[in-house]
Parts: sequence; C-alpha cells; structure tokens
Amino acid sequence: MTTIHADLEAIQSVRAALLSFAARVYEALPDAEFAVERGAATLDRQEDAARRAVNELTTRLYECHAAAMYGYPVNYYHIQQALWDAEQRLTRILHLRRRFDSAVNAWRSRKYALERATDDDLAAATGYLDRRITALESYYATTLATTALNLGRSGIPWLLPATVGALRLAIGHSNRALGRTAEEVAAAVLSERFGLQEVPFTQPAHGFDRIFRAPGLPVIVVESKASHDGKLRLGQTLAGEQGSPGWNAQQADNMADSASKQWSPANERIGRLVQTLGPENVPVLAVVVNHQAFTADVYQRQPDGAWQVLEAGIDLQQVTVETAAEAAPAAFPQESPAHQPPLPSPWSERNAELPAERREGVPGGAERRG
Amino acid sequence: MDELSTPVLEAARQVEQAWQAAAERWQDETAARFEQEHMQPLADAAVDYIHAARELETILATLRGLAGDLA
Repeated sequence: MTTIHADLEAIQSVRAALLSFAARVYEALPDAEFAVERGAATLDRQEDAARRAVNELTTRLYECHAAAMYGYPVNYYHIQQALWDAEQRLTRILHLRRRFDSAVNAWRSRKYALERATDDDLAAATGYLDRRITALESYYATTLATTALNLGRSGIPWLLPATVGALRLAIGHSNRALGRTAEEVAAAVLSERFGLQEVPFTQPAHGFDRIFRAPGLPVIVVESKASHDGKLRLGQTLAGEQGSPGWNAQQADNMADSASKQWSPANERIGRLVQTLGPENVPVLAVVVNHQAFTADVYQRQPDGAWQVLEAGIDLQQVTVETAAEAAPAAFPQESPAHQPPLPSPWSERNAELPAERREGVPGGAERRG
Repeated sequence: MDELSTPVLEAARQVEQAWQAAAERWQDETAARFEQEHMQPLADAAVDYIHAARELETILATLRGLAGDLA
C-alpha cells in the first residue's frame, strides 16, 4: 500500500466516522428528548401525588382540630406525622424539580449546540475532507499514471503494462481518480500516437481537460473520458455540449477572466488565443479510454457537431510498447522535439502538409474565408 | 439509565479512534488546521453534551428511586 493510498484510507475512515457520528446523534437525540419528557411527566405525577397527599392530610388535620375544639377525644399525632412526611416528600420533589429543570435547560442548550455542530461544523468538516480526498485521489491518479507512462518511456520491458496497471488501480476509486488516470492515458495516446505536443496550463476543476498543439495548430482542445463500454459520452452544459463552440467560448472567457476560478496567467493566454482564433475554429478531440478493454478511441468534432472517429481500438499496452521501442533510455521525447521519430499521425496527415492558410482552425484559414 | 449520554459517547469514541488513526499518517499543516477548525469544535460540543446528559441522568435516576419509594 502506498503512503498516498494509506492516507486516503485514513482520511476516508475519518469522513465515514463523522457521517456515522451524525447519523447516531440524529438517531439518539429524539430518543433522549423522549426520555427527558418521560422524566418530566413522572416528576409531574409525583409532585401532584405529593401535593394531593399534603392537601388531604392537612384537611384531615383541620377536621381533627375542629373535633378537638368541640371536645371530642381525638388523637391526631399520626396525622401530623403523616403530614410532616408528605411535606418532606413534596419538598424533596420540588427540590428535585428545580435540579431537573436546571439540568434539562443545560442539557437542551448543549443538545442544540451539538445539533448545530453536527449540522454546520460536521458539514464543513466533511467538505474539508472531501477536498483533501479529491486532492489526494487526483495526485494519486496523476502520479500513478505519470509514473507508469514515464517508466514505459524509459524502456524497462517488465514495466510496460504499467499504463494498463494504472488504469486497473484507478478502477474502484472515485470517478475523478479514474478520470484523471484516463486523462493521463489520453495525453500519452495523443502525444505518442498522433505526434501532438501538450501545452501546459493550470488545469481547472471544470473546463478543458488538456490542451495540445501541432504544427500550424496552436490550440487543440482535448476532452478525455473514461468509459466501461468505450462509448463517447460528453457532458451537456448550459453553454452547450462539451467540445461545442459555445462551450469552448465559455471556457475561454472564464480562462481569460481574472475574476474566474479558471484564471491563471497561462490559462489567460490560452483563453485569449481561443477567442482570437474563434471558438468555432478551434479543433476539438475526444479520447475515450475503455478501462475494461484497455483500448482508446480518438474522435474529432466536425463543424456539424458530429464526432468523427480518427482511430479506434488503440491498444494501450501497444502504445507503451511502441513508446519504449522508440524512446531513448530515460529520455522523454516531448522534451527534445528534434529527436522525436516521425510518428504516423492522422492529425498531421490532415493538416500539417497543407499550407498554413488552408489548415482548419488557423486564423484566416479555409473555414474563415467562408 | 444512560440513554442520554451513551449513544453520543460511543459515536464520539468512534470518531476519535478514526481521527487518531488518521492523525498518525496525516500530520501536515492541513491536518492541524482540520483538527483545530473542525474536529475540536465538534469534540467540544460532544463533550459538553455528554457532561450535561450525565448530570440529567443522575437526576432521572434519583427521580426513579423516588418514584419507587412512593410506589
């Protein structure tokens, strides 16, 4: 078990314990309230009974006094004694009543504080843990996949299936972990199989998954999806389907807006570039990573909104094998473009050989001339 | 009778155990912040509640004794 994995489990167990605590508190407090009400009712009954006893014995004592005044021989000592006992009992009950009321007030105050803490603090606590868990899972998935891919690139034969292993390990974790692993795998597929070069940017929680470039194409938006059946399923948003011009425009606006969570200096440059190119002209690719079959399909969005398959059924193990065979030991091809082998790239076949003004997605390109 | 304090006490112990186990591995600044800002207020609220519940349980036990005397 890795340290990150252990940390994740420990934090997840705290989160589970907090939720269990909340459930048990919510279950216990009404029962406790019922027990307190039962106690109060018992106290009421006892006080009533004690008061009745005092009243009855007082009445009887007055009757005895009256009879004695009329000269009847009356021994009312036992009534006096019983009244004294009844008054003592009533005093004890009233004393207990004061303690009870005071304790109930204190208990209710603590109960409300506990309810507030359970509602507010616990919600904030689990939110905090959720963010920590998400960060660890993302880091875990990214580290796992990146390590696996880098090991594959380093040409160590027995570590070649590591990419697939990364996917296997991510399965069963959160969708986010699986998604991040699929992103890493998709990035490897596009860079190794299609010869695209990744553009670093501050990846937001919501927005473009990855940005690539190719000769003559400064921005290529990439959406990656992990799928159990290999089907491409894109999110539908108010701005449009992921990858659509409307969606691209919204992401670009957010990335360029310094008030947005998606803003960073690098993101602003990319956002401005998308705005300059025109969101409708920016090429969009989608990579579907099938984590059951360990294959990937690459799609390109067409102007009519259809997704055309560029290549389907890419064997992920084969990708790493090809990479290992092509790469120099311990060297990352994308870091020294001059040493990159000429990879067969449907993308470059479609665009790289064309003059710049005829490439899709280039300012002044064919689609812009209408 | 400890039906007021016991369920909360047991639930709090469970959280405490999970937190102790996590704290052995999670010792960075965010952990300290989490403990200070989230765990401590919750623990304080639980402990205050348990103390108040125990005081009330003592009185309820006395009340039951009193009711038994009168029965």
